[in-house]
Amino acid sequence: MTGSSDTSRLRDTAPMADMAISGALARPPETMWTMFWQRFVRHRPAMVSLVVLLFLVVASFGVSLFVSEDEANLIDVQAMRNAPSWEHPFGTDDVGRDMFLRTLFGGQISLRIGLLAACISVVIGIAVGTISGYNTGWIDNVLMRITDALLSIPTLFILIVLTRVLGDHIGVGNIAFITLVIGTLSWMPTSRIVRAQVLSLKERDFVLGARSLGCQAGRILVRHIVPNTLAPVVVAATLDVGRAIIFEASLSFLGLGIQPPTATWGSMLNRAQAYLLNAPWIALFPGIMILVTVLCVNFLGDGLRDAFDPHSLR
Amino acid sequence: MRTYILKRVIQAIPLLLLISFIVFLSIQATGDPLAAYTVDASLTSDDIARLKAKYGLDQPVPIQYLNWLKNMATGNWGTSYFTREDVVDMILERLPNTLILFAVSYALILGVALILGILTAIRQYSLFDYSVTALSFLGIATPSFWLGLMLIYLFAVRLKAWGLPSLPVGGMYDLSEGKTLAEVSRHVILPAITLSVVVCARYVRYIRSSILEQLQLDYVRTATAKGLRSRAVLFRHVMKNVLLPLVTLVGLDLPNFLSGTIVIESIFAWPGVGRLFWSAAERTDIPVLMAVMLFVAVMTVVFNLIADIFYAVVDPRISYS
Repeated sequence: MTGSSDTSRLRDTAPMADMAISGALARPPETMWTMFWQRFVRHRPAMVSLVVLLFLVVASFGVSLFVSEDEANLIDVQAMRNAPSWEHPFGTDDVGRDMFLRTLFGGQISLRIGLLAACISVVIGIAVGTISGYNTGWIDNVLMRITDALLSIPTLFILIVLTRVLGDHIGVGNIAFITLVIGTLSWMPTSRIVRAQVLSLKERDFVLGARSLGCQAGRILVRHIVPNTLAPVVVAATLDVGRAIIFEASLSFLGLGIQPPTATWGSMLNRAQAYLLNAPWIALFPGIMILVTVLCVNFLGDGLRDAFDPHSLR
Repeated sequence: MRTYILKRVIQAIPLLLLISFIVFLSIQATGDPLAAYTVDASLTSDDIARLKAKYGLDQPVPIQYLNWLKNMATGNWGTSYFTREDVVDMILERLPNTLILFAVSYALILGVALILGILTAIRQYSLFDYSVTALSFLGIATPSFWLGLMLIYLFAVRLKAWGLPSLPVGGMYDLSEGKTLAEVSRHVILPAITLSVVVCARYVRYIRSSILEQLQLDYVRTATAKGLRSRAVLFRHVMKNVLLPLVTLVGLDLPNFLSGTIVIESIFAWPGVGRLFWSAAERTDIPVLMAVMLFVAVMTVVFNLIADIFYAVVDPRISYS
């Protein structure tokens, strides 16, 4: 996959070089972002993924304009476990709800949890990584040991305990709570990446320059160091989105996540196992949506990684 | 060498303490561990106070933590709130089943990943390479519990409906057949495949890119220049350098793999540690939850420690300072 785009990049370098000579004055100057965009567009799987993801977002949030959520949760005993048809493109579930509408509404929550949990994870990851990388000594030691410890406990175990036990107090299936828990349990890889970057960045001359001009440590971090760590963080964040979606789906599949009648891709799979024999489509479609979303998010991450890398061929 | 091993072991101790503290805290967040008891209306407040004293819940939190830690360290892991069984026995009873699942899965993962990784690397940019790469991208993105459902549908439900030889839906063996080798191996196939796909897909990608990277290096050119056949270069020189980092990768993946067992063992009704944890979570059986959580975390740390030491022993480039 990367191979095909590699060769197409090579093919394009020759005309680009000509253009650079003849059209250097005619064209607007290249900024960091136009160069980034040019490299990103070349990564075909990532471009396709971006389009698919945008389509998914528009479809699942746009459906609210035409149909209310109650309609998607409407129980129809006349239409229990109907196979996919024109009337119900994804079929109906065990109580006759239209799977197509529920898949769209489920997408709203699954996508929202994925994005927000990734944001939480990025914010914590940057904070921990910068503090730890900039202050060597005991703060760094403590923070990194906490990171190691959290990485050693399999995440789903803590997630289950927290949602199960705190669920009794907060209410099982509280969307904000589940997002928060997933986010606060997935920042560790990001913080390690940021720490490694900060460790090397803080020794660079531009930081020394800023310091000798009398810049405060906080300003150096926020203005000079953190922006330089963002490229790998964005790539890590896309992976976080995929992970968060799968974690939410696993929790809801086990019955600890979002509760019925609210649809998410995971909760729709929750009772699918019981109907595998007669109504396999109940299990099929939500799973495909998770698969497609995570696949696209991963490709997007790949494309961003290539696009951020100034050494990759243009 | 000995000082290096000793140093690594000593470094692991604060990590283990921290892990035990996080496990303790996450359960402490539950609020009232006796909630399951207090549902029973016939309990008087005296009874509850007595229960609290019995389980040491009337002590301040730091003392509770130290008591619990002492009990865990001395092998006194408590009894289940529900079955009154000793938690150590409960875990030991199910551990072999999880290990069977692990062994089969890892054999599958390493076998398939090595074959596909090597073939895609030596036939880079062939149709075969592209199809395997596409499949491994799909594999990495697949939610494993959904894959489990689909495999059950295809290999258990559909094959049976067509009257073909099919695989069992779940469990470890048929009661009518008994726990024979043939029965267990028939039952382990689907959960093992389900558990393997995601990890296997990642390893195929890793092995492929790692071989391609190694092939660029000078030692490969030297080996080829002295007249070694390409197969010998690959298997005698390149694979050594590809396989070693895989040990570390397996260690780092272990927590994810363990997370997977909860869901997969639940779907396939496989009587392992993951399913034990899940049924304990459903009943808020706190002693079991704490013990299993600490157990898997300690296993992870120990395995990573072994992987690090193994790596240092095998790879002479690592200095032991």
